[in-house]
Amino acid sequence: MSKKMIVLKSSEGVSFVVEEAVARQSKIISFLVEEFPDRELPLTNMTSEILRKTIEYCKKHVVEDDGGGDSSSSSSGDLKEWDVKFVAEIDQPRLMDLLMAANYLDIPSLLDVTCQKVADTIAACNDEKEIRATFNIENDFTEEEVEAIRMENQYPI
Amino acid sequence: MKAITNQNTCEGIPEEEILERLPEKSLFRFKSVSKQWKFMIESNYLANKRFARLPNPKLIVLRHETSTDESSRNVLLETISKDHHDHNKIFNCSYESQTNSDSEFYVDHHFGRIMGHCDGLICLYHFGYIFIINPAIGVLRTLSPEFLRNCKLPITVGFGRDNLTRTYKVVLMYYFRLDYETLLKTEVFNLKSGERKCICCPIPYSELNVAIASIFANGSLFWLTLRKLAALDLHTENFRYVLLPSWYTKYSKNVNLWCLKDRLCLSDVLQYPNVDVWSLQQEDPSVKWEKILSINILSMDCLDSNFWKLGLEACSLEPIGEKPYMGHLEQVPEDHFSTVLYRENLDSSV
Repeated sequence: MSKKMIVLKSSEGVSFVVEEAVARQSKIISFLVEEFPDRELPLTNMTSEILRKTIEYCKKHVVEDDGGGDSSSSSSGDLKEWDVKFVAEIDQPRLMDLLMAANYLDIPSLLDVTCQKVADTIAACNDEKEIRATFNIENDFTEEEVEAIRMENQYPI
Repeated sequence: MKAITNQNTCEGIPEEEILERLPEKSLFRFKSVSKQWKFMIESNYLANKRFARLPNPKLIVLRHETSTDESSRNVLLETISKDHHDHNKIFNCSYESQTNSDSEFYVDHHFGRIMGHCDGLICLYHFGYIFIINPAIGVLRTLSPEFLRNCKLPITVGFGRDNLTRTYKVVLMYYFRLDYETLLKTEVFNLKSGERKCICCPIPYSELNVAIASIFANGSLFWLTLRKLAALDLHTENFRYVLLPSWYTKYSKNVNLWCLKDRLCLSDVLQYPNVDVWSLQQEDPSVKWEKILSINILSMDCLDSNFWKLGLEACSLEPIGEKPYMGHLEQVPEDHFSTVLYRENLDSSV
């Protein structure tokens, strides 16, 4: 029996044909599939590149419900390792896009790994200037305010 | 809809999801990134989310230590956790051992005692000094005896938050004699505005149980008295009485007054191994107490931290039934009978 397929369309209009079980890891797609069966789902806020990455992640994490399927054979340890590699290979701007895609599509496990990776990047920053530069955040504090915050928040060693 | 790009990082990024996963130390350092970050880091919302993620919550204990030459004693505020005995020192204050009989009266209630806690902040009372401590940072405020400007030391101190103005308040109770009666005088001190106000306290001195510290829950401070609870609304600064559950008698010993999810709870730890948790569900139009849980505290290792503290407290009691099995904790030191659940607070001002 052939598996049910659905079509996801990126912002560039590229169609991706995906197994329903794979796509259903997104709670939003799961909902949309039920509401609009047999319809192409336009994801206008997602580039092909990010959509491809998201699908790659979902394919790896899909749990087959027909039992004994070889695609669900990865142990949780292997999966974790795969996840770490997966996010390590993505550059910073794309990682943020992927994080937003995970948030938008509501894929909790992908959101978790991307957020953790971003948190690790932040923790590794030397100062607040580096964070602002990395994440394109505007500094809305005056120099005096920054100094006052620094004085107040000396972390005890 | 606009395509997701990195052009506008503030849109669409669930920033609190990221901050939730950062170590405490980084959060302190990076409050200065932007106003938005500072606001999020100091928010109660983030504190609650981070607390829910903690795999192994910690408890705060107060330990008294005598120096080797017995000339001085130390009061130490520390954290303990179930899996490793990490004694993380938060606060240390030493004082000379008093041997003259005059001071004996004070020993129990005046030397190093946790008098209250709220939003992760600890109110420690130590011989006239009141310290407001954030366990992650250290002492945020110290109120000295000179500041308290009173000829007598307060017999009890309470600490909580005015839920409407979001300001913290310290409540001090002094006793004074009027003819042959001993009455309680209460002073409320607003830590933000510095305003202090004397209010009339209806609790007769003889009925207040000073051995049990007041508990802050849902905008009010609660004291256990002989027959009922006395409550002080920290916004209106008015006292009221709250009836206790029907099982409570004035002979009920070892009753633990505590706070779970911002609700006042009452548990009789002497009942172990099955300790009931009663929660104050409503006060108006009638007082309603509900038994929300009955927990078996025999195997302390398996207990949720909230209930672990009940288990520790039960260890101090003389067994009627089976004494709680303490697992690898084996001997529970006396200092651990009374604990406060550690909750991270990244706000460095009160």
